[in-house]
Amino acid sequence: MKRSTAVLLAALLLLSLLPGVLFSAGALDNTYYRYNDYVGAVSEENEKLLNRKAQSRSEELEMDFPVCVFDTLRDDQTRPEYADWFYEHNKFGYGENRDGILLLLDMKNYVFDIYYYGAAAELIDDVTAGELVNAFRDDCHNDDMSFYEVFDAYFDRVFAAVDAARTAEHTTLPSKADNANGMPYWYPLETEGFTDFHGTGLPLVVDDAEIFSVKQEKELAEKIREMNESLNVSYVALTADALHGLTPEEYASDFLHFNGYGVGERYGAVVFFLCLDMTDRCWLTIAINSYEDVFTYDVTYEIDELVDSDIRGGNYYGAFLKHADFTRDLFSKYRELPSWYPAGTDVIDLDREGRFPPENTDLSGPRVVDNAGLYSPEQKEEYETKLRELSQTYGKEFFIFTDEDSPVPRAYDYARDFWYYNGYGRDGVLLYAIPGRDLKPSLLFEGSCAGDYGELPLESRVRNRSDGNGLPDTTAYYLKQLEFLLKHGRLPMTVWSVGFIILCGVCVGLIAATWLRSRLMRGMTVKKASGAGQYIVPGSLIIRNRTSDYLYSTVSRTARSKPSESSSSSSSSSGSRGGSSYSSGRSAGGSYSGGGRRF
Amino acid sequence: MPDQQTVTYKCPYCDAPLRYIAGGKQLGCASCGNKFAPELLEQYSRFTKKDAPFDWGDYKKSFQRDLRRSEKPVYVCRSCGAALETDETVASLSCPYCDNEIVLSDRLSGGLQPNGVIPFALDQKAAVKAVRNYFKGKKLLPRDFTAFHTLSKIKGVYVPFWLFDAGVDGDAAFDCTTVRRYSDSDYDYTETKHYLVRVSGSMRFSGVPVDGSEKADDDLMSALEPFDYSGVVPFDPGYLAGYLSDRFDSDPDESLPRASERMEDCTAAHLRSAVGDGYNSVSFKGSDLRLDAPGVKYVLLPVYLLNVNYGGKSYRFAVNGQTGRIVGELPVSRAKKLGYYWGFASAVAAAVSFLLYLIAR
Repeated sequence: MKRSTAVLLAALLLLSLLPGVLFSAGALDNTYYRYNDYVGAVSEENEKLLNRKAQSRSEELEMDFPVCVFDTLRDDQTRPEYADWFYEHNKFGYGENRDGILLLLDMKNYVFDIYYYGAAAELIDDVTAGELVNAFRDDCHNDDMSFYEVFDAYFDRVFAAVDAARTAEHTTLPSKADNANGMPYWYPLETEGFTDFHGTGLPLVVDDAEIFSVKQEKELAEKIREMNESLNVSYVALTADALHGLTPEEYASDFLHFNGYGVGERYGAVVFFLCLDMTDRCWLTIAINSYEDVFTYDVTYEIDELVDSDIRGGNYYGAFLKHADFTRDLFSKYRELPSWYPAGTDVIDLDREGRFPPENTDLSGPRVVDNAGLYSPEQKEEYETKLRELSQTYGKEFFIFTDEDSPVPRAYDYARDFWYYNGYGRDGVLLYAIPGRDLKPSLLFEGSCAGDYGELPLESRVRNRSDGNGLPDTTAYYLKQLEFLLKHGRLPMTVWSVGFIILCGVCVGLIAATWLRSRLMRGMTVKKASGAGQYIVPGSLIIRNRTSDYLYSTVSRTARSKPSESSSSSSSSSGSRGGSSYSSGRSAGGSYSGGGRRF
Repeated sequence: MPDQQTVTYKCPYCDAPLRYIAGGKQLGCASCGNKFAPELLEQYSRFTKKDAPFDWGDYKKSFQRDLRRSEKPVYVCRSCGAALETDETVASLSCPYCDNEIVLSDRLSGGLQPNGVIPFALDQKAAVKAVRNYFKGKKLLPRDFTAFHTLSKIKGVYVPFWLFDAGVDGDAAFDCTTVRRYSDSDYDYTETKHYLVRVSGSMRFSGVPVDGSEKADDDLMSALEPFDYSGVVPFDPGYLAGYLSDRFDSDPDESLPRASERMEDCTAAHLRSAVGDGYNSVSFKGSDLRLDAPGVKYVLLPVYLLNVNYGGKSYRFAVNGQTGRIVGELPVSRAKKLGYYWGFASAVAAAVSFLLYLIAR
């Protein structure tokens, strides 16, 4: 009896772990589970209804429509890897190409993806795929719908999409009517507390202004798809002819945020937006999340120069192609990393905050890594000796690093990566010079040095020293300052600071002496009596009348300081838009960077 | 007539000249040490048979008539008989021949008699001590200044003062403003409203002093204030014995403007306080004030005077003979002044610089 119970429990356990195996395509009939719910989002009864519905239509359309609702990934798998494993392991799919559409919903992180397998990938175009994503996302945010209704509606839409795709080739345009709030069709009805969903299969070209031909749209989408997939980036082309009361920057950034664009752990995304609104014709490159560091003012200025003539000449398609090519080159640059980076590192998506430098691994190598060739061999030897001496004396690590350019959007991050991946220890200072980004050298303080010396003006002194002086001279100056700092715990005083202190002392001294002189002079002269207060007869003051007559008024005004608007107004008058970072100021939209121009 | 013009107080015991004892309201004899009340001496002299005066005969009468005619009076010392010619404003003096104290009573009698007098409360020693104390602690005083002055030359003088009583009535006008600040999305605005505020009122003053002597330095005399008027006593020539005294040479009409200015300024200041707190700024615009029922009293106030010539310049000091308050302009040593200034500046500069260095390093 006991033995039979143990066997039964093992069988149940196996059943719960691999439900799809037992009820896979090979085991069909009435128990073929396409809706796999590991978190109990719907009741058992509704689960049966959903399975029944999926099964009947799957057989009819000869395409599988599995759904996986889970809250824990298997081992270290990413969601795409898990999706593939789930689809493969449960032997989903019809025909030799295993046609099917898998909806993967992570209830822990509130992320969903729709994956297309076999013929489904060709059958469902980007527009339809985007609509499916948007509709499902909206349903998830609809508090009036139960999860059963959400999945039921999803099945209806995905069946209809496959049906429509099979029966006719886009006979009608998708609906792009404004939503109930008068906002763009993709805008959520409720932005308060909006939680981003990041899905795959989002449209890569959204031509709401309808400036592209069908062929152009397909070619551009293909170009972008190839770039996004090969470089693992998120790039989208967007046009619109109405801003719905938003600024162009808000429109573009909201488009990215509310539609769930973004890749990687930090969901970086960029959109090239052409706005043909009657009141504001402009183009913008707007980046969000991790891509904000990539599309800096200099980059967007370069882009603007590149596409300016095409857009002003009406060659919008050409401008979009150039923009895509430029972006591809830009991202490609960040994929060619030095050998000390671990393979597969995405320097854009890399989260460097909270990363703790490892213990010293190998400090026998050179302490002057001069990739840019800015020092002579003698200088390198001299600095090397000095840095080793300082390290041995003070128990901290000191390095110098130069490179011609940075394969990381921010040179500072490149310096941090250099320190981190080379295992230079937990406490130390790195002098780095990357002429391709900044002609002046900078300092990186790590570990306790950041707390002890980071607030001191060592870096500003070094940078000021580099004005009119070469890097070797600046380096020698830096080493002297550093040695003094390590020895005394403070920086040596400059001539200017000594002069300033003396000047302050002299000023205080003169003021004090003037006060003393007035004190000493008191009583040296006669001060005659004025007034007659002491001769007033007590109680004799009588106020008979008091009148107040209004005469006139004056009004003066001063313009209020508005830093954010000042750049806006100046760019408006000159007909161009600045490239500095913007902040949308809305909780749902988040921050973004980028720039563009009016035309 | 000379008998009626001069009064001499002699010791009933030893016939030595008597001096008024400061603070004692009595006259004292420096020879025998006796003290006498002025009223008693008056009674005493009235009933004392005097020695037969020197008979000047007709010459004297005509001389005195001439003196009167020419308004250059000559007084005869009752002690030694010396003929004394004085300034016409002098009311008491010492005889240069016998050091007898003489009061020229005709200059302080009738319409010229003061309403009162504040007798000296400080004697000459106390005045000298006050001056010495005044010099003490004056770091900028030249080191050799004290060697130049002779404090024994300090003289007690009854200075004629007019004490004005008056009411001041009228109104004063003030420019007042209120400020309101507000903003819109583009500008910050400051609105200033101007008002003319007029305040009408009156107040009374009593005993505003103005010296009636043109010889006295007005600034020096006014700086000696205040005098305690509770110490005023009816005038008696006896108080003047042993001190110099002057008769006024600037009449009330000439002195009134100075008193009037002080009273009007004070009244305007009090009317300003009635403007109220509802304004951001109040500035005096003008006034229309009138003196109402002015009255005046003539008193002699006790002052010690000292002149010191130093460095080719005369420095005058005055001591309030009642309160001991001392005023006067002192010479300033240029070397000391520069030394203190730059020495202190250097010391402070060095200290501050060192402190800042310690903080900044």
